[in-house]
Amino acid sequence: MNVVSTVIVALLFLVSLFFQTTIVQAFDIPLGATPIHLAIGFLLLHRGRIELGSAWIAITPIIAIWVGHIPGAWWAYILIAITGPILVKRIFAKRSLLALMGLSWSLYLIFMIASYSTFAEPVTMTWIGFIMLTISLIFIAYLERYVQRFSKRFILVRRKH
Amino acid sequence: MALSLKNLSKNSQAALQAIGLFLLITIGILLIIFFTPAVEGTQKVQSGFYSFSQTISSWTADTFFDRETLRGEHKYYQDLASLHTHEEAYINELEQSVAQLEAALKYEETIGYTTTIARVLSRSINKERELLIDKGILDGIIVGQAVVVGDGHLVGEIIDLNDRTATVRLLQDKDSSIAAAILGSDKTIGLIEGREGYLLSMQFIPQDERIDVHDVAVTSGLDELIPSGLVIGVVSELITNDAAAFQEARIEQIIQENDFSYVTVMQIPL
Repeated sequence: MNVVSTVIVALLFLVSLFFQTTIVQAFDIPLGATPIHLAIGFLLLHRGRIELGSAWIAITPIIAIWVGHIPGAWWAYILIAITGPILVKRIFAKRSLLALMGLSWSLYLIFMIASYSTFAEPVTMTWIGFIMLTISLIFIAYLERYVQRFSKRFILVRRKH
Repeated sequence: MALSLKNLSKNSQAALQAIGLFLLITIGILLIIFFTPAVEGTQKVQSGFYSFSQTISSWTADTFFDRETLRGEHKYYQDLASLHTHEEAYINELEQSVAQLEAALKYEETIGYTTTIARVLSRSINKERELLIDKGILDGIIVGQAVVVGDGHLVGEIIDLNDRTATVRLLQDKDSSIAAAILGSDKTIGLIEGREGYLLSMQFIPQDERIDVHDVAVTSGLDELIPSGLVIGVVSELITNDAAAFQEARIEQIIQENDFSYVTVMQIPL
């Protein structure tokens, strides 16, 4: 089962990166600044498997070389991939929407500061990204809940006792 | 204690296995879709999605433009239309001169390069204003070549290459710098550099050079791989200071980065 879920996560990773670079970023600001790929990574880190969430964020700038352009400095991704698991385990362990928000805001703040330090991002752009991250997280978290309910009802085969 | 250490190592082993598998699958798929003939299909799908989103984006911008912007644009195009009338007379005069000079200048040299049409796969939204296109080293693209849209509107230059993709640095990028002249003038009079936002800045214009608002800025041909005469934009504002050594002009591009999903790479032989 772990192998299956890892395969699904890998496919989701590529689809979401294509979606981010090709579809989302074709739009103007503010919609174009939505960090949807990063938001899914945060969700995976918090609700799914920590190690995969961390790997998701860490390899994004490497894979993006072939797929398209992503915002921020490459080492900002590495930095949040390292701090993410620590924050999940120590501070935002509760599986609530608020904890997810707290984790995402903290990581995005680190990401913003790291990107400012290399002047990789304009200040206004990252703040717009911050707002769009919050909106997309609410949307993704509800979507995740819906998918979970749907899969429990229709995909999982319950064992008969 | 020993049990908990054992559990810890079991957990880390499982985590490492999961990360390894994740990387293996991701890179495996990536290798298949980018380093086999499947790359054609992938890029076609990617550019199709980009084109679709870009169309929706332009439509949304056109539909929901606020009144002030529309009024400003209306005035701008009215000015352009009036400029066009003046230019027509000027162009007629130029056409006659060009016809006479064509033979002497070996005109074929100026068109003696091939072009490659490329699809836009992605664009960056950060400070580095860049595009990713679906042509690369295998298509004969080299760093420094000019990228144009429509009938010769320069949008940027190639700065980075992969086998099947290339990165285009747009003129708005802060690191972009192109030698420019004013249409009708035969000498380089400045450098056009990118600024944050949509306006470009023409720097190092000598004080004695006469430039007017609505003059058309073109490439001067001083850059090795960028031919002369490619339209960059229209002068929208002049910044003059008698104490300064040079004048500065703001240049407005006629074609914006959101207006196209295909570009042409001009392959001038070295």
